[in-house]
Amino acid sequence: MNEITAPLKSFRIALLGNPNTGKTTLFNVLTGLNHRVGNYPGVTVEIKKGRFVHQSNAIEILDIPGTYSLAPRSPDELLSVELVLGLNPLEKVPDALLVIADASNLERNLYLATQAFETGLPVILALSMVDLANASGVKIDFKALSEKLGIPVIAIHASKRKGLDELKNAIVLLQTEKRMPPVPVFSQDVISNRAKILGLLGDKGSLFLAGRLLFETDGFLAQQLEQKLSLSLTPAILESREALKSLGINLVSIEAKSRYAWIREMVQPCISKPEGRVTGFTDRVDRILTHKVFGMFFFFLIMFSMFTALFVLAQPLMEWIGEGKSLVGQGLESILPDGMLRSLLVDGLLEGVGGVVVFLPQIVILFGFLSVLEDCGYMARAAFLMDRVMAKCGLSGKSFIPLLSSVACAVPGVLATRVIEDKRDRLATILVAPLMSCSARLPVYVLFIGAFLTEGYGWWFPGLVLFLMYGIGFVTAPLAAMLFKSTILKGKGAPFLMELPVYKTPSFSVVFARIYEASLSFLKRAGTLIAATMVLIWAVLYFPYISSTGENYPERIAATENKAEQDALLLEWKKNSYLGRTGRLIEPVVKPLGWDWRIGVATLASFPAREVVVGTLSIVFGLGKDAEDEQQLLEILQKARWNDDPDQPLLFNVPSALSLMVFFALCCQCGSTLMVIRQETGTWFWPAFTFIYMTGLAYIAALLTFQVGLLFL
Amino acid sequence: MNDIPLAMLESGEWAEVTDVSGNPNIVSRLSELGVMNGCKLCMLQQGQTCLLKVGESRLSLGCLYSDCTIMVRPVV
Repeated sequence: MNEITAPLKSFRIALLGNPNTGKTTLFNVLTGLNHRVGNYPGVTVEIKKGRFVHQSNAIEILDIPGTYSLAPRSPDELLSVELVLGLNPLEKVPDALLVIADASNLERNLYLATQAFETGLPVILALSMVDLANASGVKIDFKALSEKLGIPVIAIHASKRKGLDELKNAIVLLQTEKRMPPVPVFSQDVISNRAKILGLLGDKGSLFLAGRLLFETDGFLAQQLEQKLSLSLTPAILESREALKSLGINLVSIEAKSRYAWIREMVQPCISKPEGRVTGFTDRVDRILTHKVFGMFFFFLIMFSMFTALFVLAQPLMEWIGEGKSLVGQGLESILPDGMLRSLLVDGLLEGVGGVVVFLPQIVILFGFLSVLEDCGYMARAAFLMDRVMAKCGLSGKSFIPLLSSVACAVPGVLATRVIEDKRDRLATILVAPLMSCSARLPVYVLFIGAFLTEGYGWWFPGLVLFLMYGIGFVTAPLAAMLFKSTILKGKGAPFLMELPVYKTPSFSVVFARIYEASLSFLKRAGTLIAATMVLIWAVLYFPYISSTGENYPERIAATENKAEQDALLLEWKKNSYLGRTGRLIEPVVKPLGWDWRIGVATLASFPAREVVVGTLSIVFGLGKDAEDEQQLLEILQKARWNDDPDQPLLFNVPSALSLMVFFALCCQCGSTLMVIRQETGTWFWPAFTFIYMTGLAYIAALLTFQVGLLFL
Repeated sequence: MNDIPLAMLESGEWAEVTDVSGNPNIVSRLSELGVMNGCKLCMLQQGQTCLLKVGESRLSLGCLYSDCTIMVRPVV
């Protein structure tokens, strides 16, 4: 490369660690980037990069997904190994590895470190959760461990920013002073056979890679490497494996046995543990929270509290936002002359976007709850409890975490399915994840429960209905998965194997970051996609404002004083608008669900993003209403009559409100979800399949809800 | 022989693993997590999906899958 045009060289570090070691927190604190932190295996499913400058040295960090071992058995795990070893064409080989290990479970965490030691790169060991280790009576002599291993060992507490300077100094120091890690010891036979394979690998080889090929049970890595490096490896590997087998060596377990024995030898002089069997805080809590009966009871209690909180806590905040919106509306109406611009700003943008923004408190509470559950370690317990249920549907507990994440949003939910090793299990989970009620459905539920299922019922009733609405997803998703797993995705699932992290106090910064990120993206969507849709909806409802006989509706409405006449004109105008014509065209399809054309078009408009519906309803039902007449959408809906005709019965009753909610619970109205399914499955077939089955299901379910509801309610 | 399948271990009982066999992928994954011959573990919650304590970690495991068998010998 030309010396002059070469970019400024920075020192490149790959960050490795087991799941739940605080790896992502360390990454965020070091690089200052804000990312999500999860507390269950594999939440870091994207490779993230960041950089920082320390003492005028530029350091680049590559965040490798959390893993227990660098033994690749899937394309995801292979990517991590490729990045660490510099085999990926998109990334240069790192200059050093930073391994973060949980001090409270040191030996298990060092397993991954021993693999890092064999890569031929310098390694720094960062120990997290030292306070948890100390609390359980474990004392580690860091200096002795550092001397024993011959590499820097640094205790850190990332969220409290402890030990970070020391860590950065050690990284900077590595640039000039390379301290190589020790090489874990295997038996002589293993070493000589590994050397043979190493010889074949040429300049791409490392002790780690050679060992990996020797110990690998399924030939996945060998196959991949043969393709990528155009080498012939399999015959030599099979020969070495046969040689070791004939010596009575069990190739499946020899690696773990040798590594753990070596770790024990290294660690034992540097660590003191309490004698005997200790029952710590986590074990005592787990006796209840993972119990078959009490655990399930607490699980439902936690879920129910979450949904009740969504109503009770958010109510006053929502009212403030609603009042703010009215004030802005009145302000705009007082300064703007009557006309198209005022209508666009007040009836279109403010009503539409404001109608969606009102639900910000719910988003904050929902994401707050979920991130606390995740960060304190409860989410993994929920997956454990649910494994039995999921197994009945042909899935495992691992599918439960993506499903529960989908309660916030199906996009991260679909991404979280990457932790599921089994391809069919993963696809089935992806296909049903959008059935879980996401935060974008929340506005619809809150609005309709608030309007039709609150007054005249107990304080606990709205929360219960909301819980049941979410329950639709919790019941339908596993059932749909069961159907898919027994038909198009037939096959035996992989066994459930998951680590449950230690309980800890949730970190305020982690929870806050997640709430902040979610709120920001919600507001951004409201300001862009939703605002644009609102303007479009307003326009197709405003135009044409001149009737076929040449009458100008806005002028005529302004000219008359008679309220009834105004309403009649307004209705005629809406019906003649482009949206009104479309609505009447689709009315026969939505009428059996108990909806009139206005609900029909609002639903139609919300296919790209379902939260649009609330804004669309605000526009469709509210357009042209006077400022004095200003009422919240909730009251407008309560008083709405069929086709806006005062002589017709009330538009909404409990069955039709329920049918609308059920439709939104099950329908696939989210462009982003379909895009992410396309991205994750690599074909348009599965997003199309998801769209068709969900929309069909939603229609049938809403139809049944309304028709059966009419018989009883 | 006092060896019993892992699934038969009662909640709260300790045991030593005497044999892990079956699907090599799962056997090696288990061994990476510390579940291998000679290791001591405690059954925290018994059931179709069980919760084990192995070393300092808590592992949740589908106990009754037929492609991997874990035999243990209860210890006091």
